[in-house]
Amino acid sequence: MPAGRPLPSAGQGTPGPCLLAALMGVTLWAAGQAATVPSGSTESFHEEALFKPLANGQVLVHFRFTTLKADPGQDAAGRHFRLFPRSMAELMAAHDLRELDLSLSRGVWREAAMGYHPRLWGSPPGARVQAWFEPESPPAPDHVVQADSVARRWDRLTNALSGQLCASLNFFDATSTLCPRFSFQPAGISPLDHPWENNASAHFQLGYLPRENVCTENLTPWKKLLPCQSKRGLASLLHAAPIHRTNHHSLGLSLRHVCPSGVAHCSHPLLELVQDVTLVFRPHQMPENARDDSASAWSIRSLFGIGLTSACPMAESSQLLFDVTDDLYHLQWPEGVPDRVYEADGRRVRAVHLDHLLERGSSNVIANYRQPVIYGLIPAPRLHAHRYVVGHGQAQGGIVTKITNRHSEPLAVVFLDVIPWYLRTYFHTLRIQTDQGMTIRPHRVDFSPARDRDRPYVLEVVLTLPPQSVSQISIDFEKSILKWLEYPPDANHGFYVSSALITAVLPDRRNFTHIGRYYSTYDQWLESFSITSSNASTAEPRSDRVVRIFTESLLINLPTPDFSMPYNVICLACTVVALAFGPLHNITTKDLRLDVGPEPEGIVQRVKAKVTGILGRSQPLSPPTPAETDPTLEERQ
Amino acid sequence: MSATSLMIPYWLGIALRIYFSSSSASTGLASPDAFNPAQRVEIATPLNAYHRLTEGVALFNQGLDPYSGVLCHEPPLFLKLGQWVQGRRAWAKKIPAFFIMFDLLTAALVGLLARLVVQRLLQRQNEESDSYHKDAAELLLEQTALDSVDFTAQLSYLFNPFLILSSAGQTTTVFDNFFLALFLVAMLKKNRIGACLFLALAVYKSFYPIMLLVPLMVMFMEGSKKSWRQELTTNVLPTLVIFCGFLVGLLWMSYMIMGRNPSFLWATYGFILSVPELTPNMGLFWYFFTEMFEHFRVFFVCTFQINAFIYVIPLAIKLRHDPFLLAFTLIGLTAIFKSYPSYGDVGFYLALLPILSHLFPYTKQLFVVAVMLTVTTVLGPILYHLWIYNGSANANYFFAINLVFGTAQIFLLTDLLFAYLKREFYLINGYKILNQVNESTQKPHARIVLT
Repeated sequence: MPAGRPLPSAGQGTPGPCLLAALMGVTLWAAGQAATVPSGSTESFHEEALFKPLANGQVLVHFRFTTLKADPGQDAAGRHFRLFPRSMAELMAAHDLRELDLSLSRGVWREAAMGYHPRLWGSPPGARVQAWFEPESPPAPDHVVQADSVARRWDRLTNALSGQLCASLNFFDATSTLCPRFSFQPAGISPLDHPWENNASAHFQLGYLPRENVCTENLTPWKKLLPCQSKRGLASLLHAAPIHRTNHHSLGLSLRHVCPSGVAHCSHPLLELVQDVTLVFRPHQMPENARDDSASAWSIRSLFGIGLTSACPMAESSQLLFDVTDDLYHLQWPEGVPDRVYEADGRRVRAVHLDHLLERGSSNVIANYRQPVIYGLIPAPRLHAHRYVVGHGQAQGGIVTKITNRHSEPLAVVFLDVIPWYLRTYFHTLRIQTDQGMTIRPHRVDFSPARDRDRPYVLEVVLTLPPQSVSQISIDFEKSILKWLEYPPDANHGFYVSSALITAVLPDRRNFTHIGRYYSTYDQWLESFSITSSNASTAEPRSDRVVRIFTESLLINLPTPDFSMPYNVICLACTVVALAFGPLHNITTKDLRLDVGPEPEGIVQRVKAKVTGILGRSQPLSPPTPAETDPTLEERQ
Repeated sequence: MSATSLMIPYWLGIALRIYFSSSSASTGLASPDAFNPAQRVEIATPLNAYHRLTEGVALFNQGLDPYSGVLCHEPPLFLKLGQWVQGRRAWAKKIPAFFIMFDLLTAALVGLLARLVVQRLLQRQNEESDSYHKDAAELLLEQTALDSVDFTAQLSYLFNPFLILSSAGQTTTVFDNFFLALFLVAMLKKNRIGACLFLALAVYKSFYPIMLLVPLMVMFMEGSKKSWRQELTTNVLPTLVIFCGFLVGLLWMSYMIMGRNPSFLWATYGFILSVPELTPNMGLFWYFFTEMFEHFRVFFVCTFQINAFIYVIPLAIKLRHDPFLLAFTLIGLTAIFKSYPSYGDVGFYLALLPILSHLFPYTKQLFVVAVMLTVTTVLGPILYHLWIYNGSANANYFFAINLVFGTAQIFLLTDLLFAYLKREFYLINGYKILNQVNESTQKPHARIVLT
């Protein structure tokens, strides 16, 4: 494949008639498509990296690799894969998947210091998978969904994903899966003739594995889904060592249907695969800045250890975006590299094409701060949350979530909490109140109690936070004792409780990093502001202002038995039972009798007694019964 | 005893219960309080804890099936009662009083019961006095025993620490004990319908009392000279029919209350029998099944549950002349071998001990048992605290206490049964029989043995 723009040809080795049919299909189809898909191609690939300094001196780098493809429907062109990973499309087809979102991350994303997560769906610690399944086609007349079949499809899906990403996603069972009613809606476009709205949550499955570790073995198969893998382009920066040195990193993968130009309805939706990596670096701890405490300059080379050497020839666009809103630093690259400045979404973003940069022989971009970074004054987002465990000891406890709303108007939020079955959660202890002790009456409370080893506790609350308030949602639990073989190898490490989720529609997009709901790339999103600049700030649709905040995941200690003693415990408990059984057996089966004197003395006599006993002539030597000796007894009997 | 002399113990009993229940008033689960009886595992088990009842009511009020979770195991009628009581704002502060009131009613019933039992003993003694040995006159019960026994029984109920904590902790075992006391009174009064009703309520609440059907039948069998066929038609069948009628009625009402949903059956009786929850308590089950190998679990659950019921028939044959002692023994064995025992169960049969004071002279181990019970009651909470809060002990320490506690109770029951047998033996044979035999045979080794 020559470098530069990809050729609009079908793959090699395709038989002639098929090729012709594919080309015809492509041409016909492309005629009706919008501008983002270049004519003659049904697929396109975009790679972007956003560099954003955070208020606490850290640097956020968000890679976004977008692959778009015409919906692989019935026509041959749709089933031909050039850039789009075939395994993902087959995954969707095999499991009747409508949408999929998956994140694997390590480290807490702290909204208060970092703003909102650049992923639309956020990224809680550990693994999270959510999937919308297609309703059965044709849809049943009464829209009754076979929940069972959704659960079965989910089971197959997670097993397939587990193999695809080398993650333990096959551990998603009923105890870690839920389908909340209010917190989620499809991210992409959804066909209007499907009953999404009525019974949507029945098609939805969400699973958390807060203990899942993210490591290089997940990164490698993830990179293989990219057209250039990690050989060329922005993905060549993604080496394991610098990634795992970060404060927070998350790998994401999401599949959905979108319209070509960021609108909600269209006749020919595209299939979109977004692979993203979110990294948070600490530049002031880098060796380059070690000499000076206040120095926090960073460059691509210092962050990733290597520079950019080549662009991905498959990529339609390959852009580096720098958030320069606060004008804290100036960017160094060779003279004459053309760049664009977007004033959009309340931010200033400088964009430069990787091609242009490489043409000028530069493989690096250096950011030098104009003045030392001053910490301490971090303007926290107006909505953020914290969650923690209260109580002490290994018998009881509680979970408290504090949600801060610094808006001057009341804000409706949906709170979703999943508590594993072994924390026996008491619904009647649910308290929702402000810091001043004022009770908040929720609009809706959905609680589904757990069943042991079967399903978790799910609490979903729709409530309105008062303006300028800190609200607190607390619930108490009892810790249960598991069977000794159910404890993980390091039982005293504790058990993870997955993050709670707070979903809200904010009045503005302040602190947002993620792009609008119906857009595929940053480029598209930022361009949309310049096109409709006259009313850009006022016309943000509701769906673009949705924010999802994942709180900290929790680690809770359960009481443990002594793992070394099963035999002793079984023996001792049985002994106590025998202590009752023996005497009661004696008491109920025997009578009190008078026993006169001991057995005959002397060896000879004893042997003789034994022999006669064996011979069955025990009569003369056996002790006399009370009846024989006591005349009074004889009378009674 | 006159009513006035009982005033002071009753007021003291009330004061003690209120004192301990005030510490259980407002603390939530998240702030554990070692002195809160409602949170102590020895007192509040999954079956009788008040916060579990509250949880069931909360789910019920929310429109959910309270038995869809794993927390609530109260039968529906009690849930409904709890809902009704908790639904009244004005009563919010008076709910502890509700439990204390039932506990005091039980105390009064125990007094009545003591009188009835001793009356029966005296009556039987008069009837059978011809068959007693001439030496046995000294062993007989005095008529004066009747004067004090109800007083001592009530005292032992009112000041039984287990029962004080149980009612202060608002456990629903208070109702178990109330129904059991009613049943025992009705049984001794030979009121078949009443006894069946109260037994059905007790069985409905906690299942294990179903074995008390046998003492009830034995009670009606006593003294009759009917053939077994007549016995079957005039005693066994009517008792069974009446009892089943009440029980089915209760279950049917529950079924209707739950909106024709039978899920409560598995959540209550299934829970009692299959022992799925392993929360610590003073019984033998929890740690045993925590440490159990999974493939043996079903076998041992069956074995342990059979063990709880297996003694009914042999004991009924042996104790056919004393249905009260039979009922007492079965209640005691239930308190030891049930799947989720609590102090309330143990305290109830310990409070009935003064009624059996005529057996005390024949016991051997009462002192040992008293020491064991005291030590375990004191050490139990300490070792639990060391395990759960301090982390300096482990589960074995607390389980060892459970084993000793169970052993002490087993010693007590077997000792009382031996004492009963000995007393019967001495009544027939005279208590000087050993001396006589020893003198007559010139062998100082004569003993009374079970053979």
